[in-house]
Amino acid sequence: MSLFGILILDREPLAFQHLPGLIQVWLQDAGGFAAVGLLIYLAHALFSPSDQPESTKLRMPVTSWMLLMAVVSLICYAAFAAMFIGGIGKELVEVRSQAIAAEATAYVPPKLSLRAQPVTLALGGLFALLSIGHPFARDLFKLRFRRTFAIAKLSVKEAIRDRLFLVFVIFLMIFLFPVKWFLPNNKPEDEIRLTLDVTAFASTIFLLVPAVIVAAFRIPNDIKHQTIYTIVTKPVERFEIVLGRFVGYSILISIALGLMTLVGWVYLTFGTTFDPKAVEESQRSRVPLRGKIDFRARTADYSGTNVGREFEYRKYIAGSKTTTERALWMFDSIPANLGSTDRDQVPCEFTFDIFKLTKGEENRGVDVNIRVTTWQCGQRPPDNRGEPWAWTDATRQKEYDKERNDLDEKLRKREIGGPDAPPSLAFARPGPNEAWKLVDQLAEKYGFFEISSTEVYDFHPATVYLPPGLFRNARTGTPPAGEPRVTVYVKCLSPGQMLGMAQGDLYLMEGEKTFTENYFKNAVGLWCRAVILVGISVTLSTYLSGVISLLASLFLYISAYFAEHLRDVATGQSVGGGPLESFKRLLNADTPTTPIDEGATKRSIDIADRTFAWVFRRYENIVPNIDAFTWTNYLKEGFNINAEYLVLNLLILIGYLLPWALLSYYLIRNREVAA
Amino acid sequence: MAEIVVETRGLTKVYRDFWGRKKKTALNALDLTIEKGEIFGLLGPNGSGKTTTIKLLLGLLFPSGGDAFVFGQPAAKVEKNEKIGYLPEESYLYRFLNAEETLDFYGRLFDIPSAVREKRAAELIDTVGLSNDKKRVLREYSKGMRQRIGLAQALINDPDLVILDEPTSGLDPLGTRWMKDLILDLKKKGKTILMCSHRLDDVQDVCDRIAILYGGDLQELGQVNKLVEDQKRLEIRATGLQLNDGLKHDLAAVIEKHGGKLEAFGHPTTTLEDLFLRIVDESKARPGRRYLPPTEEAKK
Ligand SMILES: Nc1ncnc2c1ncn2[C@@H]1O[C@H](COP(=O)(O)OP(=O)(O)O)[C@@H](O)[C@H]1O
Ligand SMILES: [Mg+2]
Repeated sequence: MSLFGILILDREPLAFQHLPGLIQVWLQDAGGFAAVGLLIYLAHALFSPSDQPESTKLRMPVTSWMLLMAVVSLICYAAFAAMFIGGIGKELVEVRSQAIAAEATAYVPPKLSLRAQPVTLALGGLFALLSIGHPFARDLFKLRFRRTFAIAKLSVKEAIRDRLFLVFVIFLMIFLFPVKWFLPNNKPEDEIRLTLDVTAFASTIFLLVPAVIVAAFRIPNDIKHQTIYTIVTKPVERFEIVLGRFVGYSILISIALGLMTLVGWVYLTFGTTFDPKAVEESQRSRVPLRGKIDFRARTADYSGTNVGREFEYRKYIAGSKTTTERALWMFDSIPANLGSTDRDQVPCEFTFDIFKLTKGEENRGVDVNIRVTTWQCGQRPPDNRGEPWAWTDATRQKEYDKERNDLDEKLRKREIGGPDAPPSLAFARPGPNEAWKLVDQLAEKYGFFEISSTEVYDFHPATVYLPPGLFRNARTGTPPAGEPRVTVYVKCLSPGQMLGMAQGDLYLMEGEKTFTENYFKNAVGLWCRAVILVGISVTLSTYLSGVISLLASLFLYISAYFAEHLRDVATGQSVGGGPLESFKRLLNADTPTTPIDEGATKRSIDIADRTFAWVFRRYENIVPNIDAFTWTNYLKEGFNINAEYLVLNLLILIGYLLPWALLSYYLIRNREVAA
Repeated sequence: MAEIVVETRGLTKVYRDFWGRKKKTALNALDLTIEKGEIFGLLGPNGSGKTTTIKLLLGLLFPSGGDAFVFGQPAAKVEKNEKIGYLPEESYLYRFLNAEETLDFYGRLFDIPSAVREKRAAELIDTVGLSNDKKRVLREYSKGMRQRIGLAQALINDPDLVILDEPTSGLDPLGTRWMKDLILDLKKKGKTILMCSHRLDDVQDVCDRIAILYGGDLQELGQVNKLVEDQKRLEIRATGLQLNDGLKHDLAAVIEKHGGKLEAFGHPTTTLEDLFLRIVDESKARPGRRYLPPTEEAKK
């Protein structure tokens, strides 16, 4: 469980800067599906007998705009195919999977690519969408709020009068009783986490299951019981029926979820007392500032060590007093409030994995050195073994050492700092005291701050405090392109120990928000998932029977949970290669790392695996990205759910549901409801 | 010439299964026109294609061949529904709604503003005689009551064309009488009515013109009073005298004098029912029989 938690936190959170890339990928994927749909549609509409009744022409219109766009789209796809075969431009897919491989299991948001291939592919998709979307867009103007809402209201009334929802909500209440009554053997600091996990699980089940059931069965039942006759014989656009149902069930979900969330929040806030440790760890909402991780040492090709743990998610640095191996976190932009004069310190929090090569001392952690520098104070690895990392500006380093030694000297003699002053700056503690003020000034002047040694324990969160002056220094001027404003260097001091870390393991604390706000934001994630499920099942139910729609939607939804793990196999990123390659190894009893003989077999296996990977990626496009909407991990680990991230996910939700809406539009229009 | 409200041209419906295999030809090349202001009856035994015709007109089914037009627009066009009221064969409404909510719901589907909607709903509930039961959910309604609320639902938009599928089924004699009066009333208001039934007395009482369907084929089409008229025979009706042999003898003599022959003598019984049964019998005897529109010569 915790492994997943960390993995999720490691996702590079989506930000508005990713929007162009997301749109491009959406155009490629949704557009690709639209192109296939368009092909079938046009083939059907154009090649059936020409003496079709007027009514058929109305149901399956082919406008000149559609034809025009279809032709343009075809040209784009043809151009893409030519470039693909000729190897001109580059294939986006390849680039994407490489990126994923480099970042191990981390999720990499798509980046906008202006190379010829991805651009033509996106354009082809765009025109295909413009073509097939034309009748849909035209009919959108015929939608009336009153009609759609009447159907939505009917859906809500029906579900409530059927008392189905009530039953589920009552069931849910059981889960609000203290978890410790049911699961007494857990660590006290995990109490809130566990409670949140249990309520999240319960509300997922008790929200999604009834929602998908009503959504999947409603339209088929309307057709079966012929109640749809009196609806479609009114001036109702067929799509209004789908939309009305969808809106109705979304409203229903919102009501149910709103109630559940409110009750849950009241319970968490007033209803019970948790262990103080749990409150400290979980009942908060930290706003982290995350950096990019890198590993460096004296040798240029160093990139961290693998110790064969956890799918190589973490890289390790070796410990010793004189090691040159460092883990770096680089921060490209620094928000103003980190350097605010109102604050005493900026916490830097981290959790590392310790891999013991030698037994080490009992009950003793690992000593770690943390150096934080700004772009104005460059650092470079030494040329020779055993030497320390140094400032790129050696004179500046000397000035700093001298000034710091002078201050320490004065402190020791109690000339400065007042009566309670510590014996050296190294002992200065954050707060409104003289010594810390000196540390702050020094950091602001040189852009350098170092904690020579602090003890960390395996997988235990730790915090060090940085002076805000450092960030004021970082914010002045413009660093050269590609240079981060702030870099954190971590060194392991204990010999015989290795320190494992991944990008998400260290961050700066930008601020704190309230747990309450986070709690309600978390509900939005669940809401999105429920809405996705309802959207899928309503769409499917316009064509399929209730049971089949239910099963198909559940299958799509549940397979989403496995999609990410299957993808690694499909894209050949797991160690043994793609599925066929692995299978061949299995037959030959090879180990996963022996290279397969070059030649025809290898080539055909390669092609087959790539084909499989391609098919799988298309399947992945259909499957909703449920993980992206699962935010409980943020909540229970006490991290703020970023508003930007939330908004982007809502946009992704719309992007995901739009093709489904298009599909349902065509399906319901061509459904003979009385047959 | 009066405005044409409904028109079908070679309208054909073949029911097929999921794999496209033919199950049944329910309607075969139907040509029909219904003019504004008339009450048109579709007549035929069960399974003769009446409901299929109506569903095709409403766009609930898609034609396998030919085309259907209502108000000059193809049946697939949603806009035509603005002026249509439809009472399904059985009134399939939402059983968890009460009468008021039902009418409000269907009113919204016509995008009628709430003030108008409320007023009309109240009037219609009164018209169909459900004032005392308007707060009860439809689940608790009897068949007759459901038929009434179904009719109210069909009239919520004050339609120009009212399509009624078996409007009197499930109604008691009183209810049937009430329904017929209501239909005649609608005609008086200038509405066009298309109804289908297998209850011949109903049709005969209200319809101006009828079409008789059997096995998906149009068998007969025309004005009700003309169709039941027997051109070869003459009917004499009289009141105020007794039925006796003397009278019969005298009448036979008079008729013979004019070159005729007295066939029957008694109280009149000829009804639409006779015609209907005759046609069904004929169809069974000669399966290929179809109604053909009168040729120009025949008209002269
Ligand atoms: N959905 C359907 N699938 C297959 N056959 C049907 C379907 N609906 C009606 N039929 C058949 O079509 C014929 C005409 O039916 P219908 O129009 O309902 O007759 P009626 O005149 O009684 O209203 C019947 O034989 C019926 O069995
Ligand atoms: Mg019928």
